Amino acid sequence: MQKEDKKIELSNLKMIVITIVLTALYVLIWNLIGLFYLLTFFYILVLLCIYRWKLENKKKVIFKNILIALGTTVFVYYIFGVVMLVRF
Amino acid sequence: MEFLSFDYSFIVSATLFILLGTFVGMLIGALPGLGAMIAIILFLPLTYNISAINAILLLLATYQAAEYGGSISSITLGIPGTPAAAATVLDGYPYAKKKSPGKALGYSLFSSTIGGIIGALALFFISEPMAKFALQLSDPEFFLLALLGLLGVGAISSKDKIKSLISVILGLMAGTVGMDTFTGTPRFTGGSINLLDGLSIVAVVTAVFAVTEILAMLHGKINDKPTFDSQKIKVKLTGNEIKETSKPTLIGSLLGTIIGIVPGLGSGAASFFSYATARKISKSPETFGKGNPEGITAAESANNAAVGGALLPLLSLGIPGSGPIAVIMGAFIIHGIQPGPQVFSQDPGLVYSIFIGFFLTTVAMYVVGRLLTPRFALVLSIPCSILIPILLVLSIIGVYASNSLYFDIWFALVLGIIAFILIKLEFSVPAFILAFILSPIIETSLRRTLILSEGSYSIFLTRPYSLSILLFIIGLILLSTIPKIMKSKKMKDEDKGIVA
Repeated sequence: MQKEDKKIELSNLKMIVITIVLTALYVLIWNLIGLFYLLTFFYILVLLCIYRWKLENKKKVIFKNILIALGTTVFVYYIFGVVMLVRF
Repeated sequence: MEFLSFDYSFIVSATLFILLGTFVGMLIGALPGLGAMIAIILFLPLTYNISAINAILLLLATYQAAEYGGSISSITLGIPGTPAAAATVLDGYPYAKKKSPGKALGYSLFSSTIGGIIGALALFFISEPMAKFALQLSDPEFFLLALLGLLGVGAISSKDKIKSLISVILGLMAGTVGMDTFTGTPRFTGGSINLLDGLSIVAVVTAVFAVTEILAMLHGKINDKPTFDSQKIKVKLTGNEIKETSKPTLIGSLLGTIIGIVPGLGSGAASFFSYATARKISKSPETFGKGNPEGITAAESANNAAVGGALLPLLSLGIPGSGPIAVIMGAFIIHGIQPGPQVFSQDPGLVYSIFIGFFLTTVAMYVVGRLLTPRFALVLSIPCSILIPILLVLSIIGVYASNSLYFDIWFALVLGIIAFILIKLEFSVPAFILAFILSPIIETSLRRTLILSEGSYSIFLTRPYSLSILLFIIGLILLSTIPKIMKSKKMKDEDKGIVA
């Protein structure tokens, strides 16, 4: 008896590719020009907007995305920049 | 900070790190799909700037708490938060729906604590005798023990044994990148100075566990918000309820400790094995799978006991008993400590601090769990669309923070994508990581053995301990391959019979 062929499902492939491309751009731009915290804020914001674009009440969603991106950037600044003294 | 000639600052700092690890571990363990490994990896870069003992206790507390945290989503949503909590779903979720999610979480927390304490006691009482025995062993035996660990994880961690073994070989190859410790010759560095020290362990584990998990999260419906009963979840048990589940809790704790010791098995195998055993010896096995608290306590006590069990071979033999412990071994290495029997004689203070600290991680898990489980349950409503960008950024920063190299970030991203594809093709990630971590030990011990024996492999046959381990390895290979060959032969004979 032979092994059966298996189909590997790759759902949401578009989202995966977009994430990989945006992540690569984020690292590349950070490497070239620095401005780590600003870039990190925009990177998180862009990803959140792409992932949550189909949700209703867009103004509220975008406002929430800005808050999340800002909160995460501040958290990163405090933990890594201030406490751990990592130079980005 | 001194009082009565005793330095309390160490106790204060250790307690703070244990509480931090417990809080974050429980939080991340509760989120489905993340698990103990992600929690440990996110903390690993932070350990560069803290003392060795605080680093190790932070990661152990994270691991312990994440194993309990996994039961929160298992019980409230029916989705295991960690692989080890999959067995908890079988009875935890039905119990939560029929009776009370709070009670189910109470059973889980109490049995996890007992499991953790028994794992800690095993660590305290068995690791030193095991280390003393290990001092009688030398390079030939360490080579064979490491090989045994690889064979064990290769045989267990994937449905396809060939793919598991390929994963092991890839891990060993990855471990050879960098400068040869004997000759100083660069190997597989491609002329890059960034690879002279070998592949960054933080980059490799982040790629293989965190990046792949993030990419897997993108498959599903990323904006879905899980819903569950919003009644207050109070985690409290009566004396009778504790008494009724004491037997499966004890059995789970003992089995979990023993299974945790065997490299490659880990908490997942421990919890399922314990669940199956509890069902077999129960007075009412037909009620398992329908909300029997014995099923919850057997699984949960085992998965926490396995944490102490998996730490035992790391401290006494230098061989990690599970994937998360292999990553915690990275914290030892980052601080210049090679775990193994020599640690007991070179740094006994560290070892005993780990024993006491490990016990305290279990206490912290119980206290934090009692106070904060209802709050953690609310975290389950965060959709993946918010978690993914945050996890990505923390993973990238974690990799950069370890060596301040952009090269490591690129490497982690590329390796993460390759590992994601390999996981889809059912290759084994735990086997790869364990082989990568053990590769330096295997190579060094083999080369030293051959130097001792002047190139002769007969040394493995002339030393009694080596011969015993070698025979055990051969027995293990035969036990796992002969039934498969016989089954394949039987199927071919049946096919021939059908055709005729």
